[in-house]
Amino acid sequence: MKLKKVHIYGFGKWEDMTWELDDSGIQIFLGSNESGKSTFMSFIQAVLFGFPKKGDNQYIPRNSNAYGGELTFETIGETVTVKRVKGRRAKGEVSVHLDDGRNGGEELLERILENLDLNTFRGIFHFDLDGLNGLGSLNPEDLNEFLYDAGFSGGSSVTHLEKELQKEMEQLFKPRGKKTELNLLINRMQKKEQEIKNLEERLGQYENLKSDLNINEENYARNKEMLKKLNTAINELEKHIALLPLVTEYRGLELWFAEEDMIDTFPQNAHERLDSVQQELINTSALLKEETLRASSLEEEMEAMAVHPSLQEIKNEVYAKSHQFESYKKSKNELREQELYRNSAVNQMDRLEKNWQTKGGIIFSDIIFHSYMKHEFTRIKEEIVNERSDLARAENEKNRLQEEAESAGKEVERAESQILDEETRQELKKTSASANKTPETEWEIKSLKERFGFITEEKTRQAERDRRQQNGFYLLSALLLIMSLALFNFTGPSVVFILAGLSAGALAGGLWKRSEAVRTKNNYETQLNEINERLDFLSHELSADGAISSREAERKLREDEENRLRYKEALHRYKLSEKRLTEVETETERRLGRIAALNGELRSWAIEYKLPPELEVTFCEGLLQAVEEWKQTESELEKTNRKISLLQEEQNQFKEEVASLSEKSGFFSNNEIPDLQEAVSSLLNFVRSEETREKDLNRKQEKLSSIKENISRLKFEKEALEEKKAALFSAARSDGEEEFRKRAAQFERQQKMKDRERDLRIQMKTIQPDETELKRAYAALLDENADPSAEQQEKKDEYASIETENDKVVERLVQIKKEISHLEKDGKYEELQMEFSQMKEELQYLVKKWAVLATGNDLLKQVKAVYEKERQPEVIRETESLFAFLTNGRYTRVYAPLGEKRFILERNDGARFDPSEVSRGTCELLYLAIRFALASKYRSESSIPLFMDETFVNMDKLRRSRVNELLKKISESRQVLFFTCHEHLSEEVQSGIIHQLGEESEAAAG
Amino acid sequence: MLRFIHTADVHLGRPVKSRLDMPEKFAETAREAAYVSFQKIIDEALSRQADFVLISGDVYDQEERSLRGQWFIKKQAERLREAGIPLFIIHGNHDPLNNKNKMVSMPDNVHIFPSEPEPYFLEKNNGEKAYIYGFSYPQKAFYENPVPLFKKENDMEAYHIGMLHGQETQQSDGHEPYAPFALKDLLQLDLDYWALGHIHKRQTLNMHPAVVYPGNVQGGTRKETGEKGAYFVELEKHHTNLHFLDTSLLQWEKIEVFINDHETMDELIAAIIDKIPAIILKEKVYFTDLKLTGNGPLHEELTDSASQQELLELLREELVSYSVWVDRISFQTAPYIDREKLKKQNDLLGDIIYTSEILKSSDKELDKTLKPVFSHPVMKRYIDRLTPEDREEIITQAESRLISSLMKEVDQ
Repeated sequence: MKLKKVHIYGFGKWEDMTWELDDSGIQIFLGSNESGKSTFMSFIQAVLFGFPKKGDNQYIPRNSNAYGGELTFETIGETVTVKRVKGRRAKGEVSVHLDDGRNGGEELLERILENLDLNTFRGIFHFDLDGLNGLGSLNPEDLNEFLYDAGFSGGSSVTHLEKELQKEMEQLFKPRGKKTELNLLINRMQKKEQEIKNLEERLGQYENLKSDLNINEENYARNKEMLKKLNTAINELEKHIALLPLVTEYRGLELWFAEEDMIDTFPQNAHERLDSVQQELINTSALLKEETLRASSLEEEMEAMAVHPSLQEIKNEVYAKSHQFESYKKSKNELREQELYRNSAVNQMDRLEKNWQTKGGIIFSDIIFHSYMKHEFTRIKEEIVNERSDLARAENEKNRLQEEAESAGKEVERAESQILDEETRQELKKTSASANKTPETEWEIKSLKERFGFITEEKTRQAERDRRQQNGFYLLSALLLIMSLALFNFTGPSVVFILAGLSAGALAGGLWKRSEAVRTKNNYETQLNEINERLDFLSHELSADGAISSREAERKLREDEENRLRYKEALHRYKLSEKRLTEVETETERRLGRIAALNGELRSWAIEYKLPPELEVTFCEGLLQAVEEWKQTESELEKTNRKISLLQEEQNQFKEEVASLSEKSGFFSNNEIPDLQEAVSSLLNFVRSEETREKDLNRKQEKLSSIKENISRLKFEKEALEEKKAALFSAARSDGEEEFRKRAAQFERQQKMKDRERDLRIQMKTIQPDETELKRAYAALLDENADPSAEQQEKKDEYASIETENDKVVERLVQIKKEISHLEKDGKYEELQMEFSQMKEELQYLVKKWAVLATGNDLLKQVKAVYEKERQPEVIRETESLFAFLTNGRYTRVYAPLGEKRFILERNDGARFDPSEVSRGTCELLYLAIRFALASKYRSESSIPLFMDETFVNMDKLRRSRVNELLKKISESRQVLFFTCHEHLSEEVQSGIIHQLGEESEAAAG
Repeated sequence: MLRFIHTADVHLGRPVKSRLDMPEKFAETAREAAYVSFQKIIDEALSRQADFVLISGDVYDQEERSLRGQWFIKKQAERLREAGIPLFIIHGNHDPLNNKNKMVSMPDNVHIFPSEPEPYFLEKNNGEKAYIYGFSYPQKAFYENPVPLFKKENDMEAYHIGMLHGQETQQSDGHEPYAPFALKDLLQLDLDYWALGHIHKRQTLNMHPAVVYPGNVQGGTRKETGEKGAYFVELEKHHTNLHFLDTSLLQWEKIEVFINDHETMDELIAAIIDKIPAIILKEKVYFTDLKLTGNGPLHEELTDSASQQELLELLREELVSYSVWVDRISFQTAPYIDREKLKKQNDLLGDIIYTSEILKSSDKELDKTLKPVFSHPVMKRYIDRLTPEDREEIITQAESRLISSLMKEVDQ
């Protein structure tokens, strides 16, 4: 491959630059530091292998969009142009153009480059200063490695990678390590495993625990059963203890009964019963005696008392009389009153008759008086009275009418005299006709006055209206002014001016209205004055117009008319009075006639009823009244007389009855009757005292009979008691009290013993209800050796010991159960398992990681071995010949002992050296020899140019000239691009063209 | 119609295989996960008023030390007993029938099939009848063909249900080939339902009649991904409904993220977090096995073990709030190379690829390399054997590591 042209579109500092390369072997590129040598190198690599990736220096031009460029080179007889520009990928877009017209991309390029990659290119064909410089700072061992590595790939450190892998492996694992990850983990796993084992052992106990559980549960049940039995025994013994004293006593009683003569039956409470019977007997006898005595004394007492034999009969009568006595007294009083009344009535009648004896003897008793007669009289009398009063009224009317007629006549005369004669009347009529126009004037005055009033009112109203309007204007003006002042602060002056203007206008309006009002007022006043003047004129005219005579004449005419009327009226009245008078006189005469007829009627009436005739009607009326009174009194008197005789009869009968009663009672004799009142009260007293005595006697009788009853009862009781006593004795089978009492005492003693016996039985039964058990216990306890307390204590001790034992069993059971449940539920084992499994996973992971490293390491070793065997010999042979050339034949041989990763140099005298043993310059030559050998042995068919990048700058001139010589030699078959900033170096190379990098770059930069 | 719950492989006491340094919240969930899942299955049995519950083997994870598990099963059985629901259990290879797992006595609604198969007759209140056939492993290793052990009762009306813990011969996913049987042999027995157990992956081998592995109730390793639980079965003579009940509280999920399109670590993390909400349910806890693959700019950084550790910690911290635990990250990214091309190169990288391929072809060389750890007297006891996949992965990662490192050096 031979580079012909380099064209940079834009790369780093360069834009649109072109270099043409000729056919001469070594192409020198000269430029000072920073002139862009490395950019140029990078550009060539970028076009061939792709733009640098992100993160590296990508050389993207700062001032241009053009990125990339093209290379033209010859290879295997073809001219190829490779162009790379910015593309979709960071690598860029490549296009290849061959001069035979073929075009292509990445693939074609790769084929042309024979799959050469950037690493190989750099490692083999690019020589920079670093490779040589690096030699100086290396220690011998590293130097060997470095040179050896250079023999592999030119520069990459296989050994370094090997070491890295080794280091990482050792971090993970060392066979006897303690701190490496794997070793640590294994350690933990072992511990965890032990933990698991421990726990497993514990879990292994589970079955033991289960059987333990069974045994203990059985023990527990057995113990429980025993305890139950013991408890029963203790309880039984407890009863025995309680029974023991009872049993002993009961046995004693039984023995006593065996010896005692037993009384089977005996009255209950024998002593008390006998005592009480005897006591009762004594009491009863005493009571009997007492009662008998009382009866006889009472009988004596009663004999001394006696009562009137017919008391019952007398008693009723006496009470009746005593009752009647009151009405007797009333009757007496009434009699006295009736007698008094009789006397007064007689007197009354006499007095009435005497009063009317003035006109001859009028015998009242002769007069027939009854109500019809009285009624007839009354009718006649009233008619007479009426007629008389009408007559009197007619007389009065006649008198008045006469007077009236008289005064009417006078009036006619007077009125006639006042009437004017016809002449005078005519004259007066003429005078009055002249005054007819005055009413018109009066009407005008009236209308004027009305108008005057109207105008005055109008004026007042107008004045009021004006005043209001004026005030309105003033108010509006003031308001607007205030607004304008207020707004002055908020709005522009223009608004304020407008408002102020409006205010002024309103004020002007007010003033105009005022002058208008004054004008109207003046107008009204003028009108009023005119009316006044007219009024004055009219009234003056009215008063001035018309003479006195006319008015007077008229008045006189009117008067005359009136007088004429009055005369006509008076004349009419007079005639009327005359007519009425005649009528009244007729009526008076008719009434007088009627009165005379009535008087005749009265007289015939008096005769009919035996009254003196010719009596004046009024007198007659008075007499009639007196007769009526007299007749009444007479009938009253008759009634009274009858009453008096009745009363006297009654009283006498009563007196007789009282007298007979007194006699009957034997209390008084007939003669001895003193006063009726006294007799009645004495009778009463007698009856009452007799009654009292009777009652007393009755009481005593009752008492006596009760006493007699008592006596008979007591006697009966006494007999019963005697029988009772006998029955007692017979029941006790004893003849007398002595024996009875003795037996009673014995029986009582026996009964007490029996009670005790029963009591004991009940107690024992209470303690032991079971009869058989009781019998057994009884029998056992009668044994004199029986000691239930001791026996019970023994059992109790046994109980306590078993209980203690069982507590332990229970405790153990709880423990076992807890452990079992713990084992069953505990997740600890699984937790450990899980942790262990995680560790195992981790281990697996780390082991794999280690395995990758180990395998890598191994791979590397194998590759090296292959290399040493298959490739190295060829490279070393070439190295040997180049090294010999470079050292001018001083070193003739280069070895690489298999597997030792080092070279050995042999000098022409046969001495062998390790590279570290020769000078640095020689080492550098060795390095270059290796690199050139590597390049020359590169498999490629086309010779890829060598890029010498300031490679020899630090080399001494002698050695440099050998290198240059070698380069020249190489450049015959392979293009060499030589980059330097040193002119002397470029001169040493003695090549044809020198490409300037610096100036152009400066120019480009400028 | 019979309505019952079919579950298997409860594996009480089986640790969830996760790495260390988990927060207690997750650790606790992991410890209790199988218990909770089974309890939820029993909840379902109660709420659905199932006719009975079947456990087709491996109730307990370990032959011994299953005390807590037994106690727990007893408690759950007591709950079923109150509702009058019988519980049928066969024991499998993990918990063969021996005295160790009969230590805790079960209530009378529990029927544990003995090692000699025998039918259990059951009649429902409505007169429906069922025969349940099953047997328990007498010991851990049971390699006999179980099919001849089943003898169908001659009752055409009744339902016939077989319970069997074992390996269908076509299934080969790392389970021990216990009680191996062929599906066609089972079908010949003409039962109405086969309640299988042993294989942890849920699958229906046949539909008419149903031959069902319900899978285990709780994912125990990162390989047992997805929902776990039991089947609620509605069985009719010619029709079977299977309702899967997701009862697991902890769910394993694999997440694979390609690094190709991500240029920075932050982008990658965001992309990973973006993948999370797609899988999560609030009431669950997710254990994820994150796999980073592909090649891209981030590859180099991801080969660095410090960066790897940092990424893991960062993600764990970020995702805890989603109830997601990143159990591990598997870094399977490759450098940005054309491996085939490199292989052809006559240089170091080509040699590495060439050599690694030779290494993959033979176990011997790798065993020698790994001997220091795998033959370590203490360590070897705890380390699992490497699977072929593990080996391949190891070599691939080693190769990737070398190439990346060497290329990186050149770049510098």
